[in-house]
Amino acid sequence: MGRQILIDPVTRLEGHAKITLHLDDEGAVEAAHFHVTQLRGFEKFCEGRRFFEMPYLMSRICGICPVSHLIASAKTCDAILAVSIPETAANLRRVMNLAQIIQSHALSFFYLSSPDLLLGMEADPGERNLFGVAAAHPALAHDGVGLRQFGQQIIESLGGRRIHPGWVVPGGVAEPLTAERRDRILAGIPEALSRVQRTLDWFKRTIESFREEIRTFANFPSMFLGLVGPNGELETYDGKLRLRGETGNLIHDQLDPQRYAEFIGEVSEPWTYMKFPYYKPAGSEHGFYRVGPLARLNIVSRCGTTRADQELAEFREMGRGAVLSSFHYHYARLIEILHGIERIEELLADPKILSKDVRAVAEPNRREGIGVAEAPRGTLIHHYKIDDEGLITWANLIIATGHNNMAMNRGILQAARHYVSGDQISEGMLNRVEAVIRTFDPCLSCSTHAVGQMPMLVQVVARDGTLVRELRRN
Amino acid sequence: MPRALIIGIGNPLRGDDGFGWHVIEQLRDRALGDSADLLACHQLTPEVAVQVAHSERVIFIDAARGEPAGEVRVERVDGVNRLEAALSHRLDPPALIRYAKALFGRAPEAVLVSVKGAAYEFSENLSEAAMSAVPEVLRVVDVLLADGRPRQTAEMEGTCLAV
Repeated sequence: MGRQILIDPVTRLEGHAKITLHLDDEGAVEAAHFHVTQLRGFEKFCEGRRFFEMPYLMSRICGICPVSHLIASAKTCDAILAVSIPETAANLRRVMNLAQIIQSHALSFFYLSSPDLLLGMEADPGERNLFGVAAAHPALAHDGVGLRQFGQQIIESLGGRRIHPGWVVPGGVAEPLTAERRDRILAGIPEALSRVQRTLDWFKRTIESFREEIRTFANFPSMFLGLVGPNGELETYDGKLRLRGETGNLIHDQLDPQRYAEFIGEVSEPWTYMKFPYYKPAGSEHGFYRVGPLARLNIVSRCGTTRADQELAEFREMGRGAVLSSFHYHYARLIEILHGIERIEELLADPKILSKDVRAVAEPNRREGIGVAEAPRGTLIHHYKIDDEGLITWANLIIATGHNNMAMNRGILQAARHYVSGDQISEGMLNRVEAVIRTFDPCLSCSTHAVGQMPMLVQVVARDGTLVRELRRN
Repeated sequence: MPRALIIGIGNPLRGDDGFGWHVIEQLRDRALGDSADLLACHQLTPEVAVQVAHSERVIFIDAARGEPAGEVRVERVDGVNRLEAALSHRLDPPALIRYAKALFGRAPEAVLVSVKGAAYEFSENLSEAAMSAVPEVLRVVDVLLADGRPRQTAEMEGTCLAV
């Protein structure tokens, strides 16, 4: 009879999950599931709320990427108002979104993943953590806290607080930027650039030592999805969708995000609260794609900033066509931090950034709106419908982590087949399986939209489908 | 270098869990000048270590479980090694102090002022018991800022301090 290995909880993730590995009679892994065991239900409980409350409500989905939800939600409300927001407001939102990406990527790379990268997957868990990094590589630890602080301080400077800022509103932003706050942000740019460049240089020197992880960490052909600017440049606030295949072939370009429902479908599985989005024309079996930093660097024609474009050229030398190993999400995050810092500097150097014209005011002019932006973990879609009173009657959210659900499950299976053998299971093996998930930096709070944990059913099923054991938790 | 960093920890949408935020708001109205930096946060994250390490003293204000509701406890924070805190990006006060020392080679003297809460349901308001503790906590903060040296009292158990 087949056996099961349970990794529960999975550590160093945003949220709660467990992984089950199903072994065959010989102890080889035959199936793997990434279970997300929390449910939040934001789409349901926002029904009946006033639409203009949505940005602030939706930002509460997550404490790591509240800005992403704030922005996607505000863009959805812009669509309901049918307004074109002032250019300065769009650029200020853009700065905040880039700061969000910088701080979130810094958290993922330095706080959650660098212990594995610096200290080794086989290292004692008692040492393989933040403190171990600080002891063994203090300079890198300093750069990590410095970059996260840089991003957080920009968000605080613009929005008044680091977590759940309410400054982004339907129609634009609540207040213009002052010269003093702009200058404070600009003053931090040189040091932030130095920090990320140092880390990139170290990572590139080290990457060869991860050859086996690169080969086995969710390394397979897939499509890649994300927003791009009008000339194919990296764009995280606005733009159109682009989908590329594994060889770098263009499948769709400049696709209006308002049409997302025509080409993205979702399926559910009974063993997880996280849905599985897929590319409709290819069907749910073959239509899986990846989003996030790796996908963005695979789809863009260029980053659009000097230093990030130099790094992108080097990054692309690793793949014929697209870079396929999900291990390189780490690398892509560092390049995106670099791009974000450069882009923020460009945006703030424009004197128009201090314009007082930062908000368009209107009543609802449409009954439906869609807002799309790039969150740190990938493409984020908000879609609302309202009634004549402006109350939400329906909402749909497709979250960055959800897009990657199929890829994460396939990635766990690939790594488990390589590293796990039923007779010889070590901490390092299981950590590699977890580390595959960490490359995607999933945000489970976002993707399950949990007010606490739902009652849960745990089943152990034999290969012939016989229910061996059932546990029910209320 | 500011003499003190006062950190209110909690979720202001979860009733008494937002006690620390409430006290920080009260302190903002007092215009403490250069004597203290104020920070309200949902969680202690590693980058807060930068501010911690550059302060002479840290005062954490947090809600605590237990009874009697409204009881104020003042205790010294030591940089105790706890694995669970190290596995995440969330740190508790002892871990944050230890992380500041690990990164910057110095850990300021730190005190945790906690209040036992009565209600943690969804609310932006404090319970009556927690609200009644606010003046006492503000007094404790005043004493710590003025004197900075809470003293251990033999008659109180554990790390409870009198100010």
